[in-house]
Amino acid sequence: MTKRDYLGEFEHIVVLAILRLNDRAYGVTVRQEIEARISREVSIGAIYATLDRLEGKGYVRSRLGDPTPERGGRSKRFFQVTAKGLSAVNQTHSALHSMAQGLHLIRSTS
Amino acid sequence: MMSHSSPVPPPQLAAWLMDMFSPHHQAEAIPGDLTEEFSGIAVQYGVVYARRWYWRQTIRTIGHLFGGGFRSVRLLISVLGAGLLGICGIYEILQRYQVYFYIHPHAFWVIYTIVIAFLIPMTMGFLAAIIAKGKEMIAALTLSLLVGAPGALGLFRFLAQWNDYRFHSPIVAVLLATTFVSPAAIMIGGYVSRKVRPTPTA
Repeated sequence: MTKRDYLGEFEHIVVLAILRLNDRAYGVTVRQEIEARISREVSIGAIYATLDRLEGKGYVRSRLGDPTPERGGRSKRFFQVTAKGLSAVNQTHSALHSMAQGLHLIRSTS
Repeated sequence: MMSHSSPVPPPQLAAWLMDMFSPHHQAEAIPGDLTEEFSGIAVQYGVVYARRWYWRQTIRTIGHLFGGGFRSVRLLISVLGAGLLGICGIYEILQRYQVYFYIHPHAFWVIYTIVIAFLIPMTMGFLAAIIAKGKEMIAALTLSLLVGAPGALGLFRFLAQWNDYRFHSPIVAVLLATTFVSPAAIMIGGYVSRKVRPTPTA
């Protein structure tokens, strides 16, 4: 396994958001999903910069939807995780799990 | 929150900036996403809040795109940046040791060479703006900053020594031109290539 098969922290979050959203994944929904799940306000620019990078690596693919009036007549760009992207998520999870094994990371409530 | 339509448009200047700086392949998606969310936020939290939100998103998004654009033409910009710093260094040495005084008959040609050296990055900026495709405007902005920043510093230095130079009006014209014309030309190059690009497809 090469170093490039791992996802960065934000890449990981974005890919998981796309997987959660299934066929409804585009900029707005990905941003809102991340905000709702991890309470982290991100800009649409950060999302697209990451999606661009992921698409360049072949981890996601995109297609243009139809233009809609509430978007000022502009199209949505829908994203989908590829098999290579799914494999990268699994490898990243596996690596993180291996590294965390045996460590007491759960914060004490006392 | 996503599908409401609102009669209130996003802030015009911010929307224009987004249109201008969105890369080619995301020229539909990014401004469209922002407009869609703006409508929802305006309905839910009010227009004032939505406008603030839109501006905040615009500034942060342009920052991200700018960083992405810089990375996409990193080598070219590094070479240009190093070249410009070198030119500034040579110019500073010429000034400090009063080389013009010792080579007075050729002083004009020294300045002329420096001006030509400024024209080279300007021309390369044009080329970068045209060939950089999706990142053309961001590349143009980055290049214009690289050319403009040392130019502005040189102009500031020149104005501080105004008394020594005020009678040399051709030199004044040349300095002003190299300060403002090169970055402006790079920006115009980016704008032109942006306007003539084809419509993105799926």
